[in-house]
Amino acid sequence: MTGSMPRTPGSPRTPRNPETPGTPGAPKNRATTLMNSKTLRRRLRVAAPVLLSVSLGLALGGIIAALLQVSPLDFYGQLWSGTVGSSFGWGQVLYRATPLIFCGLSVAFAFQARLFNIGAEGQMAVGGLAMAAVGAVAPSAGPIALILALGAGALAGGIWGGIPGVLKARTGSHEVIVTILLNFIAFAVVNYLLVRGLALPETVRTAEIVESAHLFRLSDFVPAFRGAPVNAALFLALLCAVALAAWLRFTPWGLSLQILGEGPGAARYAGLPVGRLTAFAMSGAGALAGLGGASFVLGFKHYFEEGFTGGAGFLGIAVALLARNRALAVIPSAIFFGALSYGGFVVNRTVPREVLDVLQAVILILFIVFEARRTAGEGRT
Amino acid sequence: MIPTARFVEVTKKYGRVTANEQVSFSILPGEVHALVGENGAGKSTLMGILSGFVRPDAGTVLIDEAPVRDATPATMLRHGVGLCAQHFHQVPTLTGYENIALGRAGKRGLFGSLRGDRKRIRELMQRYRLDVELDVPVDDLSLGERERVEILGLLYRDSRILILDEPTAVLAASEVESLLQTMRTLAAEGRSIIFVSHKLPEVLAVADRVTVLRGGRVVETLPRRDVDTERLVRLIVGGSPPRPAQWSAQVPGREVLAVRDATLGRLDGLSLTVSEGQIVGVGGVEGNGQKELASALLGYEPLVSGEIRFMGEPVKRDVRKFRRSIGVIPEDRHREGLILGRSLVENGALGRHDRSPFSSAGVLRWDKMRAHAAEIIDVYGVRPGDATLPARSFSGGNQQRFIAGRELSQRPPLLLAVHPTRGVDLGAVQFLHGRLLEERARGAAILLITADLSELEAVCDRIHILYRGRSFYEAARNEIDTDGMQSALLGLGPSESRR
Amino acid sequence: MIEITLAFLAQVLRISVPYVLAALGGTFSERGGVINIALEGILLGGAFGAAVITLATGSAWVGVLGGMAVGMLLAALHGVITIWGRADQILSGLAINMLALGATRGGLKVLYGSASNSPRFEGVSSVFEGRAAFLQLLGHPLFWMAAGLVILAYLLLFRSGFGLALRAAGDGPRALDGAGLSVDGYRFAGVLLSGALGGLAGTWLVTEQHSFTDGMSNGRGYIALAAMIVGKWHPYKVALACLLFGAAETLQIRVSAEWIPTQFLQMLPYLVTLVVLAGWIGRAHPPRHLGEPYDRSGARS
Repeated sequence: MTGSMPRTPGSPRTPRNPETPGTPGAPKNRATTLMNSKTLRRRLRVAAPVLLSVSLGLALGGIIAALLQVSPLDFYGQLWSGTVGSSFGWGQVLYRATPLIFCGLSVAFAFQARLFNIGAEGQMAVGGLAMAAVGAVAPSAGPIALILALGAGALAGGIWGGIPGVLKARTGSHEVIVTILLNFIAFAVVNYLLVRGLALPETVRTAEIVESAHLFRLSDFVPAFRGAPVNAALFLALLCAVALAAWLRFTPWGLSLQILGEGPGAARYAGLPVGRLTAFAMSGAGALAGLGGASFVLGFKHYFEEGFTGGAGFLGIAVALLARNRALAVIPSAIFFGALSYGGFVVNRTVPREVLDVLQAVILILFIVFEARRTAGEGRT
Repeated sequence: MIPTARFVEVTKKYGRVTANEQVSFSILPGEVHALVGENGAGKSTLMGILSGFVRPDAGTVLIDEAPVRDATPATMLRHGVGLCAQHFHQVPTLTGYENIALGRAGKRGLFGSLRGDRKRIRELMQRYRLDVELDVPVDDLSLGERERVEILGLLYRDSRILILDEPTAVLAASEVESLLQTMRTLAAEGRSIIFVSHKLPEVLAVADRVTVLRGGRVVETLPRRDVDTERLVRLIVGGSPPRPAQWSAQVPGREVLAVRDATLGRLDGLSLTVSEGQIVGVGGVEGNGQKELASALLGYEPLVSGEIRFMGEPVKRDVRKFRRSIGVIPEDRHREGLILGRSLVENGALGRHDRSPFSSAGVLRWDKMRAHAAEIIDVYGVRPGDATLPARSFSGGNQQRFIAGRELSQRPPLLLAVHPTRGVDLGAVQFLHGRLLEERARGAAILLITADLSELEAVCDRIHILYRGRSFYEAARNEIDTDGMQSALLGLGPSESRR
Repeated sequence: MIEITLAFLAQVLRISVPYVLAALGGTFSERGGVINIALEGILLGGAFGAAVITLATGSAWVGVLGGMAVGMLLAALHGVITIWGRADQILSGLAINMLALGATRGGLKVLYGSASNSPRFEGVSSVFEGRAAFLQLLGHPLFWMAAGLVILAYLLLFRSGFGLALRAAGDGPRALDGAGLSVDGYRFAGVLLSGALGGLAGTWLVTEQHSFTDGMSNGRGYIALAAMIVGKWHPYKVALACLLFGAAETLQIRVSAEWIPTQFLQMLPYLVTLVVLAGWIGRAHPPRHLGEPYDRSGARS
């Protein structure tokens, strides 16, 4: 497969030469202004696919609303005030963005090696269950329960995600179809474990985790978030994003992963451990997705419930895509998609919330088409 | 005489690189028109334009003096232009027959019969003496056979302008002779043949006229009688050619690499050794085990049987360690040697980025990587000299200089060079040969795999010609006889060569 | 005993029909070089289209056409995005699946005011309606259509000029272009065929169930893709793989033994596919240029 989620040939992670123009303190003469307008144009070209797809997608949302005989202004007014227009809305959006950050990072991580992780949904389910199971029985001394629960989630997700990696390395079987299959298998396994003992009788949820494994809610400290489920898992997600960005930029393994992704032939030729890197990329992705359950299991409900993932794993693909697989860019991308997802509930009284699902798909489609145009233009140079 | 095809001020640029600039010349009916020039001179782009694959930025192509606008391969085909591409345009999974009939397949409706026309193909095979197995997937044919399939396809479609792009590169000497014969026959029927080639003796043997390209421009179009080898070389390189690297005798040291009875794929029991201060060349027609030899040494695939010894120790489980202690100039610099989208800074540390000095305590040392890339650029004369540019923005010759610099900067005890000068300009060829000889003088052991016999003669201490996976001809430098080497390419002994 | 066997067999075949149709669709698309993950969404969209059109016109057969039309529409979208727009084929497929899921769910609400299912309707029915399961199946025109399409697909792919050119589009597009035929055109044709077949598969689902329910494709498009890979992109072998999956699923429904958890049977088809993909039954070779947009002036192809 030629995953062509593109990256600029200029390699954004190339270290910036300190001597290049634009250094603060350089005299502002005509030459630098010219240079600036050139960089500005280049930046615009890079930003264009994001801006165009989002604005065209939103415009289309307005048209759909009008077709359903709802004023587009009302529609977007409602959407705005219900999500990022109020602090309660922000609390909801950030709660939904939290697993999206984890899953977006998961997809972006695997994609460093040009592997498509379509399996975040299953990895998150398996990780969430492990988290809840360990969190319920862990000793509640200090932060031990919390650490154990998080570790269990990451480990379970990592193992589940590692399977397609190992299969790819050993037999060359394509990770896309394997991760899709493993999602279904994950749901069946989770269901089996619930039915055979982990669930409370007559339910599809587990017992509550011990108190010391809870992640605090933001509303405990910021009263404006009262009632919104956003919790400390958000900070964990942000921390992961920053750590991942640094790891990719500053460690040899991070660079190895990117070499494998951008030049598989070069990686093999250079004697890099291609198989181990492949397995590592997928299991790392699985671990990140596995942590995605923290927000629900440790921070919100304090137990695992079947189906809690709610498609975050799949939406994580969209999140990573719009972020062009850059770890830090995953954060705003996840907030954007989080807002659209929660926006569905906000507008549900006037238009079916599926309008926003359609919107997300349309934005995604427009983005990949614009992005293909942009990289085709750049590949020629 | 009215030209069958004419280029009028054709220009084509790829980004900042100019492939063709204001190219004008014409092709006459009934002539073999040779197109020569260094790699990167713009020959392939020009032929891409004539066959409709490449759209020119400016200028016109005329067929029978009528301009062809917005050409596609389909329109050019209708105008009688047929391209026999260097890396054949064939569907590898289809048989020769299906490949030839492909063009017709679409024009016969949903269930149009694929039968018929076999007779015509047989006739063509006979008339032009292009013998080939028709009912085998072309993937299983030799390169020479695949080429015959391609030419049959052109004739089947009644092409009157035949473009043969480097057709002899993959052929053995006897096959070359018969191909040249076929070209003369075709021209005698009034067709135009465009013969793109590097091999000047063949050009001089068959061409009626020669057009020389340099840096994307036409230098001159000359009738055959006005040129000889020396003049052509001067026109091609633009002045006198750089002085070839000088080989001088030297006593080899300890044995560094020993390959014994190596068997893998087409490789069938090959044995050879390379010692310190020695360049051992492996030549032969492609597909006789060269790829497998490189593959085994790089650790891509383990040998089926036989063994590889490095410094006297067998290489088995520690292939990666072995791989990382030698230098390798790979066959495919775009797919293996470089990460095209990354800067020379990253490319300079490729494969050693996880070791000192490029990383310490698990952290990348970008400062060391930058300095290293700058040093390679400096010492190996890479242009433009900016390490922050992505590798893809450098020309083939400069990319190859950079790779050589990276691999030799560690002073490896063994260097494996696979087709190191393929597709690079003459200046870079001489430079690389010079570097190989310098490394040899330093005491490095060098294994050189190449399809270029003159390269073997220029730098090697010892040569092996592979045929069907074995060393069919082996000679020390002072024992090499060119005739014997030539016939060994075909698997013939010296006595059989002059039949 | 014979009755039980026949009933079992009938159920295997019934369950396999949508797999066979969708997997044949995938085969056409991928033989031409276009990965079609969108098959899942095409199946769902086709099912929805068939339900809506049948309910609107009251004609079961117009409904069949409607299902195929919606499938082709989604496939055309996939074709425009990937062939004309040169965007990544896997991402396009995933996006179309999202689109189909959201649009059908929203459509249910808007058209029928229900979040879960459409009103009941009679689709194309068997001439032996109400008889034993096996007879009923033998009298079903759509079943025979599916069976015929397996043979037709083989003939089209391996015994026709169209098939030769389509395979060339996937295995050596440059040669096809050089022969004067349109690579994009053949690829588009392959994708459209996959839309028609996927839509028909969806039609079968609603016909069996007599109504459309939310998300009813339920991963069948993905299973069909797996069957296509297991069947090595060859219609007969693909159909066999589908029967294998169908049999596994039938076992899950019919066998309710204590000693084996239903969840295990549930994942059986996926596990079988995984085992096959992992290469225990020989390596599958996909079309050589699968997933690559064709670039005429590109360096290698």
